[in-house]
Amino acid sequence: MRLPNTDSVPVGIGLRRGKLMSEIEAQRPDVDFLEVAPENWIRFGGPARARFKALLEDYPLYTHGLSLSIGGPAPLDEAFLDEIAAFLDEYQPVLYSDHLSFCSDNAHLYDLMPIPFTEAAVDHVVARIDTVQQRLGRRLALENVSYYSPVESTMDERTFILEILARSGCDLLLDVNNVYVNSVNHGYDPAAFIDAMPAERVRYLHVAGHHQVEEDLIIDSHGAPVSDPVWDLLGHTYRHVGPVPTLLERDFDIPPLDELMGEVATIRQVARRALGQKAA
Amino acid sequence: MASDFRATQEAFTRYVRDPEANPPPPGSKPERMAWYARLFRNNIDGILDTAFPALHAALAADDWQTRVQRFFRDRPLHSPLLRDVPPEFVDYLADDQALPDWQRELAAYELARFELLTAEDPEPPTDLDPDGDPLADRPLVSPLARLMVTRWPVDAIAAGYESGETPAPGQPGPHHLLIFRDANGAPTCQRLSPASARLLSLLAESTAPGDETVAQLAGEMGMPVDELAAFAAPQLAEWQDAGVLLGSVSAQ
Repeated sequence: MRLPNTDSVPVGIGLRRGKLMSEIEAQRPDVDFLEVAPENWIRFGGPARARFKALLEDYPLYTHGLSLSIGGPAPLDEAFLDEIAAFLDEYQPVLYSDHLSFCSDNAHLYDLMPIPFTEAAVDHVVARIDTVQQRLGRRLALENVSYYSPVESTMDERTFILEILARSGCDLLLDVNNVYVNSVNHGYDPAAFIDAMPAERVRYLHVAGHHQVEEDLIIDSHGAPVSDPVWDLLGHTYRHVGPVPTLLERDFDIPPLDELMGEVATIRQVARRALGQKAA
Repeated sequence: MASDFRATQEAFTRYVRDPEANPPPPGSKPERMAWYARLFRNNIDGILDTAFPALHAALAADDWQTRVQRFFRDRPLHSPLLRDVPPEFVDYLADDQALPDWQRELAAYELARFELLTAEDPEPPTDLDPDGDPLADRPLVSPLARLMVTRWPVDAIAAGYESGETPAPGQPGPHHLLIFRDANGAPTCQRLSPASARLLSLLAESTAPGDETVAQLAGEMGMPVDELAAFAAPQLAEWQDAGVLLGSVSAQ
């Protein structure tokens, strides 16, 4: 088992079946953890499962779910929670995260939608976080999501997130790319947004690439290298939150592993520069 | 006073499922909501394209897109796992009168392969002998082995489309297809003779030793048992090597 160097920022990459998984198996890249979506490995058999377990001998696991729908209008799917619980019990990841969003009404849409930023929605999400954390017997980290259109709300995104953190026991997965994407899509100052987040609750960071489709619209595609403004914002984030574990997210147009490792090296460099000797 | 947040959420999902028939949700920017509708549809399209590459290639672009769009609009998908979407699509296509039979069979064939990619490993009984004698003992057919009887040679049709050709529909069968997962985890398909197919389906239902099942088949076929056994023994050995048979357990 690799033990992360306590002075530096642990950096991970996503594990996806296919070419990337084979490259990770063959090259055993110098990363501090691997991240998976439990949904992609629940009720999953064949040789890939044994290969997954073998990789976990060498790398700590972080999990990032897709289908929890913590803000969804329909009741939580308890059978699904039990499956997540069984998965977490079996693989004992460092953390379990999902998104501060909803992805279903009475049925799944398999993509993320923004929760209306209202007091009633805060109540609803806070109660559900409680349920999930009790059911799983562990803390949940929720990610601030990118979104493209506002919906009818009574507060801004920042206040919504802060209220949920203040009133629930969950942690924040601060997605630095999403802060940048939303700052362009909805016209706010991304650095001020980061500074407003409670550093002691930021347990995990994500960075990813995106596609700018209009001057004031970025689509959070996870299908491109991380952009320069997001690298800058990541440095700013480290100065605010310290050496928090960081994932390089790439879900589409995945390049060869050595190219991803170039970006992993950049994350470490950004962290060193931002945190000075502390992270060297 | 804002709407109930759930009402806003439901307006959001109604809109992305069917943007032609529903207004964008309150407080939204319509041109941005159009992006959501496109992205969500593309996401479902991508899932289905992964599972049904040959069906996608066989359909005219509009016919594929219309079906994906209506499926997303009309079919409530209750599983949190993306991989449960393709079987829902095949079920949805069952009522699609405009789809020719061979395309429906092609979809079922591609689904069987897709499901094998991820299917959970069978948990064999504790008394299983993986090298047991499939004639003297009771051979156990892997739950991952699927026998499909199709009218159209969908294995060849799928292979044709996957290599970028436009294959001819081929001769109407019955075609007996054995679909299973190989040792590397890849779905694979073998054509069986009608007799082999019958043997495999009898084995899957039987609790008797293999030689009794062979004798039963010989009876059905009006064939001397010895003659059929000479054909069945190497077939059983081959299936055992390939993992189609998990091994044998003592007969009841």
